[in-house]
Formats: sequence, C-alpha cells, structure tokens
Amino acid sequence: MSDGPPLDLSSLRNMHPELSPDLAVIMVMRAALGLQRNKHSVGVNLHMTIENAVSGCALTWPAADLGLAKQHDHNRITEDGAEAIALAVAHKTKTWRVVRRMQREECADWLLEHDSDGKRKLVAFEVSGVDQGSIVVRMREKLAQVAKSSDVDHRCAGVVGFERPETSLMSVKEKKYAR
Amino acid sequence: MRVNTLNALVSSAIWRAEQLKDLELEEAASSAWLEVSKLEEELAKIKPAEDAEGRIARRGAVRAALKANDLARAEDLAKRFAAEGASQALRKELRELLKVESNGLSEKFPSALRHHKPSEVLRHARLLLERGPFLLAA
Repeated sequence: MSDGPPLDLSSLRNMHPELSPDLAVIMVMRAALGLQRNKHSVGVNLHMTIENAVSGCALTWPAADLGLAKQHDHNRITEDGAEAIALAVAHKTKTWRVVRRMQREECADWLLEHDSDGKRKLVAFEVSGVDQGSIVVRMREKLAQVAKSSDVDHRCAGVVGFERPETSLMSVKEKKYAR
Repeated sequence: MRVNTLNALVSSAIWRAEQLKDLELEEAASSAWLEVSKLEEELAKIKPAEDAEGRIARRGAVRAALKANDLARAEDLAKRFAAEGASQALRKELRELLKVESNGLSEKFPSALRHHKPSEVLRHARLLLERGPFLLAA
C-alpha cells in the first residue's frame, strides 16, 4: 500500500533547511547503510504508523557502498539513520521542520516547529532506531522519555525499524506549563 | 539570519560532542562541549529568557559548560542569566544543574569545599592530578 509520492531522503535538507549540510549528509548515508544491510533496495515500501493511522510510501535514498558500513559504528548507523528517516516522515506527514538539535538532558533529540492557526508551535521530537525486531517496546520507552521535555507545545516520539522497514510517530498528550 | 546559522552550528556541535563522548575521547569531548556552551550562549543573547528557545539555550549553555568540566564558566553563566532577568523557575533549574555538579565534588572533597568555592576546588584538584602532590609544597 503506497500513499502519495516517494519519500526521498536526498531531499532531507529541502524539507529541513535549518539542518546543517554536514549532519544531513552523515544521517542520510547512515540511513542508506541501515536499510541496505537489511537487504532493502531503493524504492522499498516504508510502513508508516502516524498517531495510530497506518499508511505507506516508497522510500528512496542515494545508494551507499555497503563496504563502508564497517567504518561506522553499528549502533550509530541505526540511530543516525533513524533520525534521517523520522525527520523526513515528520515533515511529510505533519509539515514539521527542524529548528535545532537539543542536548540529551532536554529529553528529546530535536526541536521542531510548525504553524498552527497562524501561530508558531514548538515540538520536542525524540527519535530512536531498531535494526531488527519490533519497535513497540522502544516506542513506549521513548514516549516516556519525551514526556519529560519542557518548554514546548508538543512532545512526540519517532521510532524507525529497519528490518521491515517501518516508522511510527506518536505524540504525548499535551500539557500546559505555567512559567 | 544569524539565529538560523547559530541553530545549525549548535546542532552540529552537539551531535559531534555526543559522538566524541560515546567514543570515550574525553579530552576532545570536553573541547567540543565548550564549543556547544559558547554557541548556546550566543543563542541566549538573541533569544530572550521569556522565549522557550531562550530557556533551552540558557540551560544548554550552563549544562554544556559543566560537561566541558568548566565549572567556573557554568557558575558565571548561571549568575549572568539570573541577573539578566531569568524567571524564578529557570533560575531554579540552573541552580539545580550546578548543585548536581557540586554534589559530585562534595563527595570527593568535603573538607576543601568548606573553605573554597566549587570552581576553585575543581581547579586545584586538576592541578594536583596534572602535577602531583609536590605542587602542594610549592
């Protein structure tokens, strides 16, 4: 099942202009390595679960030389690759855009923004990757983590599973912080 | 726009510092965190403390200074941000960040902390490690 045009990771910086070029290049390359080491080819169907709504689309990326995978840390391929895919999905499905990266103690990886009724809203976005197996448990962990993030309008977790491949985005119920 | 440039730079700097820390390259990670702290400080100059991004930058500047093992810088930043009109909640968060660091020191140097500021204790502890106990006789 495929909805809409393909999701092209090589356009990551067009989706998120504030993402620095050097970071985007590494993230996309690691996404390519993560997908290819799981035997996926360019154009594979990416299963998406966005706030419990199921859909899918073709995923494309600049092919990487799998021989280079040993030069990268195995876990970093999974985590950085997941960030590229999750950020692309967040833009495609919710029109969110990167503002900046946050330090880990803010309980989220990225600060994103979007427009809602003419107002700028901030999103804390925590991302994680699973090389093989189910993403369900990881999603529960990441939701609990990002729920602690403050100074944002919205908290969301994104988990990418490379085996299938699949991406799930789920939001924490919004709270209001008095400052 | 300057804020966009700083956001891109701080994003790269944080990513790099975290990678260096994960690789356990402590000295390189310290330098990287100092760079993060300075970039967060620059963002704090542009984004007021009333703004969410301003608060994130102020916490980030102090936290990154601590991760760079520069307690004096962290203390100075926290003091400056408080004087510039940070909210009570933000001042409390910054004090908590410094307290966690001081608690680590108080476990290691309880007597020294009774007589000196945490940043001075840390400075002397580092000198002692680098130059040995004969420093004390000098």
